Order: sequence, then structure tokens, then C-alpha cells
Amino acid sequence: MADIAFLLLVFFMVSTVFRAETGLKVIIPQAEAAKKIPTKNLTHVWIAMNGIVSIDDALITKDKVSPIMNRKRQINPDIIVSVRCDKSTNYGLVEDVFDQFVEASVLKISLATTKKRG
Amino acid sequence: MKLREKVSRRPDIPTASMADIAFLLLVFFMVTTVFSNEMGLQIVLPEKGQEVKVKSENIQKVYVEEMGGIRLNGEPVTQDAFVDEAKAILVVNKDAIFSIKTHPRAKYQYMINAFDKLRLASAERVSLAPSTEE
Repeated sequence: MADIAFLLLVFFMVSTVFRAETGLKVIIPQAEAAKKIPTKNLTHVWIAMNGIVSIDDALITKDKVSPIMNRKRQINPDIIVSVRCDKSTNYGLVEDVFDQFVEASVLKISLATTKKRG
Repeated sequence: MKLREKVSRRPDIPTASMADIAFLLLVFFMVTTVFSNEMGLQIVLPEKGQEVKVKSENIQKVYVEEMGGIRLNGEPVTQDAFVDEAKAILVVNKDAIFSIKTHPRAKYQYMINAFDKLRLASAERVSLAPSTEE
């Protein structure tokens, strides 16, 4: 019994990842073709309905995204950005953030969605 | 006077509560564990200033309207028909590139819908065009 408990204990201790960021409260869109994305090299960017962006738990305006992402890319050139954007955000605002990514040469993007069951 | 004989006892650490501690830690980690199940649609943005020349017949224009309607090469299509139409295009021309243009006031979900449908139709070459009002 104790052996099993210890085994489980070690498993959970090793697999636990404490959430480092809280981000913004957003309702991400649904997609049927959503695939699991690898967490390696992943960094999160939250976009709220009003266009406020959150990176590393810091609230910033859209035009400040590029310098931050540029710094992140220099630290890790294989960076993948997971965009967690509210589903009701106007696309124009989202596009401005994408332009900032292009400006910073951060090109691998993952649009975070929840899986829609057919 | 008779002194009591010294009995040498080996010191030991009480281990009775060991299992309790293990279970406590076990419950703690079981409760706090968050298994990562991030889902998403992956896309690669074009490099800045990079222009890729593509044959005009390969480009399929997808326009996402303000209220969520989808137009394929100017023709309005329903969400369900869009998947089939995209599949049909890919059967005829497997090099087809879908360029999604979205109205700037359209909701993000609408763009994701169109993108999702293209992925369902196994379209690998999808690009996001600058948004304009049409």
C-alpha cells in the first residue's frame, strides 16, 4: 500500500507544473480541427475584447508587443506563441497584434481554441 | 549499592506517520496537477517584407463578413457547404492557397470558423490577408 502511495506521489511530484501565469479572463473560440499543441517553446499572449494584451502577466498596449516578443525571440529563436484571444474581439485588433509579431519576426503562431465536438 | 545495568538501545526514528505524510503529499499533488491539454490551430505568419510569388489561379479568396458570413471567391457560401467547396477545390488543384480576408469589425470567432473549416477540408496552405471592408 505504502509503496503504491509513494509511486503515485513521485509521479505527481514529477508531472506537476504550477501555472506561472494567470493571464486575462478570456473565452477562447471553438474549433473542430483543433490539435494538441506541444508545450515546448510555448509562450502565451492574451488578448482581451478591448484590445488589451497580457504577456508574462503584464498588461500592455498593442504597440508594445513587438519589442517584448523581439526580446523573447532573441532568448529562444524557436519560440511558438499561443494566442489566447477572446472570441468576441474585433478581428482588426487581433490583426494589429499579429502585425507586431511579424515586426518582431516571431512567426510561429498557435491560435488557442477549445475542441468543438461535432 | 547496586547500580542499574545500562541497557543499550538502538535509536530509531518513528516511522508510523510516514504513510500519513506520503498520503498528504499525494493528495496535494493530485489536486494541484494540471495536465496540459492545450489545443489550437497552428499557422506560420509570413516574414516581414517577404513576397512570395504565387500563380494567381492557385489563390482562392475567402472573405469573412462582419456578421460571420463566408464568401468564397466572391460567392456567399454556408458554413457546411464551405468545407465541401474547399475540398472540391483541393481535388481539382492540390496547390490551392486559401487567403482569408476578414472584415476588421468581424469577431475573431468568425475568422477561426473559416480557418477551422479549411483545416477540416485538409487545406494546408492557408494565409491571413490584411483585413479590409468590402
